[in-house]
Amino acid sequence: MILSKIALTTVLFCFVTFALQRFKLCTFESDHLFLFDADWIIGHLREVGGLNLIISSFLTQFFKFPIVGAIVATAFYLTVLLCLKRLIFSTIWAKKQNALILIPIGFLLMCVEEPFYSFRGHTALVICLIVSVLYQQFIGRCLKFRLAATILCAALLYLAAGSVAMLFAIIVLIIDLLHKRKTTNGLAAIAVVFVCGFVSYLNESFVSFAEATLPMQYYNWPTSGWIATCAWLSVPAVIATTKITINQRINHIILAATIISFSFVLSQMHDTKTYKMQHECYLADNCRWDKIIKLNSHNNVKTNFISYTNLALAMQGQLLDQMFEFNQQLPTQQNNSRTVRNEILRMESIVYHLSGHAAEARQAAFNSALTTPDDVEPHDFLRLISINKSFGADKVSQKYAEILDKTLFYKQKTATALADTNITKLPQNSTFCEIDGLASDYREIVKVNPQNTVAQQFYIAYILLSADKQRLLSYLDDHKGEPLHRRVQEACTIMFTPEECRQLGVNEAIINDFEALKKGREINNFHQTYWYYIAYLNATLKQQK
Amino acid sequence: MRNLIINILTIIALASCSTKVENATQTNIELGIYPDYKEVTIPCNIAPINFTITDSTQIDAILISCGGDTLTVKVSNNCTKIDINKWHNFLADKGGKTLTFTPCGKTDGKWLAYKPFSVEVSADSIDKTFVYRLIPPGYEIWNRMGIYQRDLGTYNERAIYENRYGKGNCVNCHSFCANNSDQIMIHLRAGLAGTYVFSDNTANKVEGDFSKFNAGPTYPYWHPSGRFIAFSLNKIYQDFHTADPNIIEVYDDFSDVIVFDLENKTVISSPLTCSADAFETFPCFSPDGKWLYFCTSQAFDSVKWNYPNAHYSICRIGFDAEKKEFGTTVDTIVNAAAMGKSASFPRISPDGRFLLYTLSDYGNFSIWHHEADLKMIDLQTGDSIDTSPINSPLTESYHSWSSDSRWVVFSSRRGNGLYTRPYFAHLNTDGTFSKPMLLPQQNPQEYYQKLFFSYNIPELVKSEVDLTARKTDLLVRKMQK
Repeated sequence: MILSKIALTTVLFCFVTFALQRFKLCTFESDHLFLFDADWIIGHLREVGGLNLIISSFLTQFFKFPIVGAIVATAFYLTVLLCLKRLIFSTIWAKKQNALILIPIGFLLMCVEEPFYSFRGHTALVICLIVSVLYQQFIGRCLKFRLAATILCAALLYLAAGSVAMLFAIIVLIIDLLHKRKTTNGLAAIAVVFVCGFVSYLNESFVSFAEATLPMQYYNWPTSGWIATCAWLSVPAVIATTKITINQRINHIILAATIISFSFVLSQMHDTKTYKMQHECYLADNCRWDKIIKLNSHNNVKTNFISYTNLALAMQGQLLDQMFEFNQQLPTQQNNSRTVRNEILRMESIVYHLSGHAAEARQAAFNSALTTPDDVEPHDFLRLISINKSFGADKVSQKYAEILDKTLFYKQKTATALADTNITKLPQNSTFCEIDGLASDYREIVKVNPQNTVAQQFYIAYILLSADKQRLLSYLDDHKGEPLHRRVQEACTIMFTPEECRQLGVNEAIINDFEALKKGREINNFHQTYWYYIAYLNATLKQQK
Repeated sequence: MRNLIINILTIIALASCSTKVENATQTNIELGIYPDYKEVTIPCNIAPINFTITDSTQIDAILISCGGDTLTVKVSNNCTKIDINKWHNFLADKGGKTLTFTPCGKTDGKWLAYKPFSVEVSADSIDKTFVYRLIPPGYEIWNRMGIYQRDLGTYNERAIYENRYGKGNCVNCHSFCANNSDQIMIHLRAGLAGTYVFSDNTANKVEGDFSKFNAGPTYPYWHPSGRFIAFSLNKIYQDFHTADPNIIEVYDDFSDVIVFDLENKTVISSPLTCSADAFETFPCFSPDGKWLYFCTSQAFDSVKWNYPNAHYSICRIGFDAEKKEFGTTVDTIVNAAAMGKSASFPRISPDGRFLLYTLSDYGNFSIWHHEADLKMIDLQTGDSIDTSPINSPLTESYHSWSSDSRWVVFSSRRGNGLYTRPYFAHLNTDGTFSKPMLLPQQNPQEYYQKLFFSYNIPELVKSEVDLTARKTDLLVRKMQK
């Protein structure tokens, strides 16, 4: 019976974690580096909270595989649950359902939504709870023994998991001592919790949240300092409130209310836009271009020029053919939210890198690495190896390669990146990036490497989307005598007279279609054409005016 | 994982046995080392200069000898582990002498001694404290950064300011008055923004009327009296090259130079340093405070398009601290523009004799220019000094002098072209530089390989700075209130 309950809970958590958070967990993986290196490990062991960091980084590296991430996270949720069950059920509400134990679980689920969260908080909490369970074995022994055990635990926890973990150990002892006095047990414990929370709050205003509550720094989601600290510290308080008995019906009400409120908070925190970008990033890293297109084909979300969608189309050679199936925005209106800066930068670095714009890719990859908790991002480093090689900065590539060489999952890719001779060709004349617009940059990239079809598609797409006649003329001039893509021909019909179009080599049928459109044929008949985009664009611009 | 276990076992094995080199057979095989400390000159009070043997040859010990004294150093994973106390005792009487480093390896029970190399120990000690900013070689954004001090006699590093204490703000341009650690100025950008002067356990914000200028205080330099700070007021832009080996171009389309009076909180300016026809930047007082050196270029429009036209020369103008006014004439000291080059970061040696500056092809932000080199002139004779021993094919840029004018520290990208590292060079009595040495670390290869920060604005000060990251932050917050 117990086993079946555990199995059911495991499956439930695993499903929830996998369904809701697997790409978030993948992002954790790409935000960290675990190095199989003695100096790295010893160096971190010397730091406060070092063991915690090592364990969490070690586990996080496996999040590269979404299902493993879900299983590890589930194991943590279950460990927390089992520890609390052991701590609470065995003493107080034996065999009664206690909704309060779900609080830390919901809390852990929410923490994963914090962009800078790094799974270290989960690890620290589990370490603390395991120590508490061990401490439980000492209850009943002499006071000196418990004191000695607490002092030792506090010191070890401080080193292993940080200052709040140490505080946790001390509070467990205080509660244990208070527990003997029946009149004050629960209330006094709660008071201790609030005093600690208040001290953390004060510390935060004077130093920084990170300094005040390490390892709580990993829980800095909105207004978090407080909630996180109190939630953490409330666990021993719950243990201490052993004399309070709650009616089972009330427990059920609390349980329902807890689930509803956490679901609501989680849904408020779960940023679908960010999560979608994380999903796309995962797919792009695995070259699943068809999946990216599929992911975006079911909705009418605005498609930025630099986006995974356009990259996926270009990688399949379909950007010009299919771009107007999506709600394309003016390329000058890159509509990016600052709240998902890391995801945006990562996306930019991937798109620019694969489209051959090395300078923009280097800039974005570097900045993307900087927006991770430890300024490192293995995927960005991999890109930087390749990009720096194209700039002739081999020693910089080597520096990143030496680091990735000490990882479990990037060794092989590093070797491939270093050995890759097919590096991006740089424009012959260096200018400032985007000094004359992105189209000019791509024009130079295409000039030096006409085989770069992705850059070529981005170049033409930019001209079309910006409806820039001058740039279109430059393009036509550069490609005189070459067959024109249908979308380019459609653009010509708008920007030039029919006679000029014929001279440029525009197909007669396309000219006729446009003439029919001008004479009043329904625009919807030309859905997914450049004409439809321009009509839509003009309407939008009029609306904006 | 296997390497980890091997490393741990090696450490245990080395710790459990002592190294005694006996009857070594001398060979003529030369081994590579990192950092390249061969033939460098070191201060007599520097921390142990550990290094790694870069060849695959197994080395078990290094013999450091001088006269009749020998110091035997253990080698672990081909990296030396010089005991800090033994090192300082050993160096105590070695000023002006030459150390010989002999790598030794034990093969089949027999010791082999490889080709030795020498290191000069200068009798000139270096200032106790080295201050620098650690930042990623930033593009547009930042995450963690801080200003740190390092005791040059040990490996101890301590934060003077870290932005994780504040509001994640950018911190830059720390500046000291005449190598003294008791007066420091730093800029904070974004959160807690302002220019702060720290002295006597207080922070004061530099607040003056800069409204008539197009920009706020940027590059600072203290007057030796400690009462004034010269600032350039720059409107700075940065752009990225599409194909140039120099990643970034940083340029100004406006800059003037003024002096700020800290006591009266007034701005002292002159049309000669705030000309509309010229860009003036990088101020630097002479050690007697009577001259203000600065870089200047003819002003022009559309700098973004014409940035290679910016050629800065070094000029100077008189400054009267009593009357709080500038002189009436500007002298050109280094006419870099006439050479088709550009000069930046003028720094006068505290004895007033030498002017050290950076020369690049164009522009003023030579930090990103691979061709940038350090140059020096003798202000007494006007002669150029040969600085080739301290330059490399890659960037040498920001630099500062020790208080006794015998040492310079400068940042260089010579390692890999991107991450700047601090190098120290000795100025010999004949006015030539010795081969520079990289800042020593306990395990330099490991440390610098895993360091994704650049050493920025290296400064030497005579004593420890009495600020910690927490203290600085508290002082700033107090000031804000």
